[in-house]
Amino acid sequence: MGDEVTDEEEVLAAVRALEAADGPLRPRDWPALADAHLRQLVTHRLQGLGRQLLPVMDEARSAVTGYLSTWSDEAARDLARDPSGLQEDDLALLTLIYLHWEILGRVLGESLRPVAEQLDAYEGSTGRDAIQGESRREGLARLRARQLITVDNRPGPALKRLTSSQRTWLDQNLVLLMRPDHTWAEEIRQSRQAASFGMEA
Amino acid sequence: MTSRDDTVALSLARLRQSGWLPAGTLPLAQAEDRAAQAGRQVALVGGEDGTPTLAVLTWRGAEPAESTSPPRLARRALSRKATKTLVVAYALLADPQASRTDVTQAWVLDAIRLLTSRDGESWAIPVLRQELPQAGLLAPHNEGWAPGPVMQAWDMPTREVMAHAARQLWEHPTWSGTRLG
Repeated sequence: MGDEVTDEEEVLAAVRALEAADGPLRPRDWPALADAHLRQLVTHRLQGLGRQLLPVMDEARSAVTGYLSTWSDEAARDLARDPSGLQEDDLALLTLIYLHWEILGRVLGESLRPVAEQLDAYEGSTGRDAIQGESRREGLARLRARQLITVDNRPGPALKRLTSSQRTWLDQNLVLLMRPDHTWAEEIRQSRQAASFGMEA
Repeated sequence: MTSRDDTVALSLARLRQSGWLPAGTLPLAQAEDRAAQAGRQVALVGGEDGTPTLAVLTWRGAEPAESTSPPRLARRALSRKATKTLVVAYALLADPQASRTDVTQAWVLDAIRLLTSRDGESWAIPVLRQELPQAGLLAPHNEGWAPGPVMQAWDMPTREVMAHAARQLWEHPTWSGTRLG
């Protein structure tokens, strides 16, 4: 009985800490994350809230160095339909920042000018300036409040909480955005349509 | 997981995301049970004078204690400017000599100017309009803001900390200026 109470306390402590922590929790600090059986209980409790346990791997992707909690894939899809409090301009800013750092910088290895300068230079398909002035400041503040970007306008820690399927979804969105006429984009649209029919059936 | 389980989980996910929801939109009994199993609590606020009852996702017992070493708990801490604005707004709302039900932008800015001899417009206005309502701490009311559902659901330790901070402002020599007019 004593052990059960201890286990329950450890599981609750780990779930609460996961839901409050701004970075990965190390298993050596949290007994319920180090033990496979207790970790299963943590997983189950998170699932009950529409959340899931996300292992963080080392650089070689051979060992788990910590754990985060994040939205379950079902909850992420559901919540994406109503991005609470975020406006269309905020999402446009986030997309430009993500493209700037992740695609131009990290993937393509281009030398980057400051992101604020890049945003100033952007004129969009209509030739008009992108989000400017007070509207941009407020949009960036909303993205920072959700940890989607950092104080220096880089992709924020919230993006580290994407599961592999959520990251795939994001990558596919970038293809749809940047190369909407490519055959790959058509394949993505067809596969999503088939999946949505499957869910309705 | 059954579809009923999914519905409860998605309801709690929406509650976490938005900060509060009308209580009637939640499968309340199941949501409370599920939250309790994860060290959380569904608190109900409002419901008086015809106002809708709102559900807020809080912590069971006290919020996880902040840690001094990484990772930081809790991660959605308010910015320093938002905390300052919140304390001023709360002190105005809770001032026993003023009996206000809401605060306006002008009152908050006046109080900041009286307390600091500086203008807080550039940082306090975005906080009042965006950050605090988004966090559920203030809610639009008349021409200003009233306590939001998350403020109404504060646990006792948080209330004590805020009451202590408010008392310090009430005792400030210039605070009486906020009670004029």
